[in-house]
Amino acid sequence: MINQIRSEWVKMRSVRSTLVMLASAILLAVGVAVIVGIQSNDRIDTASALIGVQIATMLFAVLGVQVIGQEYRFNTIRPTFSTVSSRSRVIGAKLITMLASVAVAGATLIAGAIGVAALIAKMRGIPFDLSSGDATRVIIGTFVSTLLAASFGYGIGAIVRQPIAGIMIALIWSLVAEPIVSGLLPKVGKWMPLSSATNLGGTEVLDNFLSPLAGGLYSAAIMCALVAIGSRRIATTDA
Amino acid sequence: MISARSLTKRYGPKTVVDDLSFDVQPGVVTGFLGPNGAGKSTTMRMIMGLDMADGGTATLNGRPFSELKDPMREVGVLLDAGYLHPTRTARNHLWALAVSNGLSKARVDEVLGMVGLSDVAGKRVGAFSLGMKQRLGLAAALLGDPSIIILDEPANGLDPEGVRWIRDFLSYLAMEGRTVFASSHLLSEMALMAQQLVIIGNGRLIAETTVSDLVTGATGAAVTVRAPRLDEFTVALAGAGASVARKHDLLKVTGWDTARVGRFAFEQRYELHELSQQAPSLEDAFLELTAGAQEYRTVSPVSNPSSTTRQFSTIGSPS
Repeated sequence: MINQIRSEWVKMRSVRSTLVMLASAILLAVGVAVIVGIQSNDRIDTASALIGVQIATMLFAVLGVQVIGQEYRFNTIRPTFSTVSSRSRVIGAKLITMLASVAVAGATLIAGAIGVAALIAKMRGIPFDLSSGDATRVIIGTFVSTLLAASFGYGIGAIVRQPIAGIMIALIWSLVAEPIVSGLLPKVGKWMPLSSATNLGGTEVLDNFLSPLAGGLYSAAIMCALVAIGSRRIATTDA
Repeated sequence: MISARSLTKRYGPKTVVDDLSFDVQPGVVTGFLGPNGAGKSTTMRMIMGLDMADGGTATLNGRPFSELKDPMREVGVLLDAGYLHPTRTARNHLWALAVSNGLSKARVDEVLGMVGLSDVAGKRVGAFSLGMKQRLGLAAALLGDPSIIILDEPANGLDPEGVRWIRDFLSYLAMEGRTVFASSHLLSEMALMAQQLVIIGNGRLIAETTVSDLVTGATGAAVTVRAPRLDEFTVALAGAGASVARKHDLLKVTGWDTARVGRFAFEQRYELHELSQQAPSLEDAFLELTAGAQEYRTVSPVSNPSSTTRQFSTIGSPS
């Protein structure tokens, strides 16, 4: 398994799209933190500083789709499966590598955004409080959101096995379908997998959604189911 | 050794590989021949576990692919040179495959050198020509120094020098005792490259034979005769029971060898200006064998197909 994880890491870091994705996420996270820091009047709160990271979670969803979808788009899945006799080992190694990379990238983005916001707050002489319980929830919640989004993308990518279609589905689902359902049917909306995790890293805990813990666990369960369905499809169909 | 037993693959109602069984022995290059759509690539994918067989088994050195611990050390495969990520470098492409089987970076550089791609190892493969991709694919197949090598159209896209190189290379690999199984549409190349043949059509086994047996057994074998009194000689041969066909100033005799035709001419006091054995090509033998097994038929733009054996059609019955 270690060798397969190393292989997946080589694959991930050796294509341009991964580097473009990470560079975009850094620009987004830090850029938004700068804008928020400059625009804030009397104080900078943690959730606002991390808005860029929250938006960047969409890029991690795209990365999740790409990790598996590109293998099928360029047919490199065939050389991959011709060199490893266990497909589940490949699928597992891809997921572990992708989640580990997203965890490092997410933590780095959060640290970068907070660091930039804190620096601007200090320069402007306004407060930036990281010690409150709400700040802790926002930081941990934002971090978990990046992992959930990446898992969501991976699951979609594994099911459709086509990066363009996978990215379209992931983006339309998260940016269009869920917000519309949540807006029109709040009782249904709180059971939408991404909306249910809204309270994880939001500026305030909203009553019409599940609690941060329940929403996070529910969302994680849905993502696990998506990944399982996709993995099953990959393992049992022609490459 | 590769063994296929009753391999079967269906796509919906269509059976593309039908109860196919054959063995590929080590120490020789075995060609895998069949018309377009015969099921060659599907068979190779089933052997490698890429396509799920609807029936039957395929083993590599006695074990199915799914039971191989580090498959690259047992079997190297090149199914399509285009299976590459365009923005990945050649070295990274090989390194990603090698590391999954615990192979070293030094081995990656070694195989890049073997296929002549050391100078472009750091270049993105999207800019590679088909021939370079083919060489890279072959390098990937050789990474684990496997005892079995499976190649789908290995000469595809290579220039004449490359074709000769791959021919010599595969022969060398076979001489080392490896099992080499290669499909090709280039029958002239296959005639030079392979010793054994597995021929399929419509997903079924047509023949498992040697190149020489296939060619010898084909009905295109004939003796060509040029003689001043050709009309008389034609009648004499036909009267003696030979199957003859006449075209212009040439006579084709089938069913008799040169010695018998020469002796007959000598005994009957006919002067001959040419007496030569005309062997059918592998192409002739292949087309004869797979007639009726072609999924996509074409119509010749000329009345007489290119084969010289088919230019004689007036007398006798050459194929």
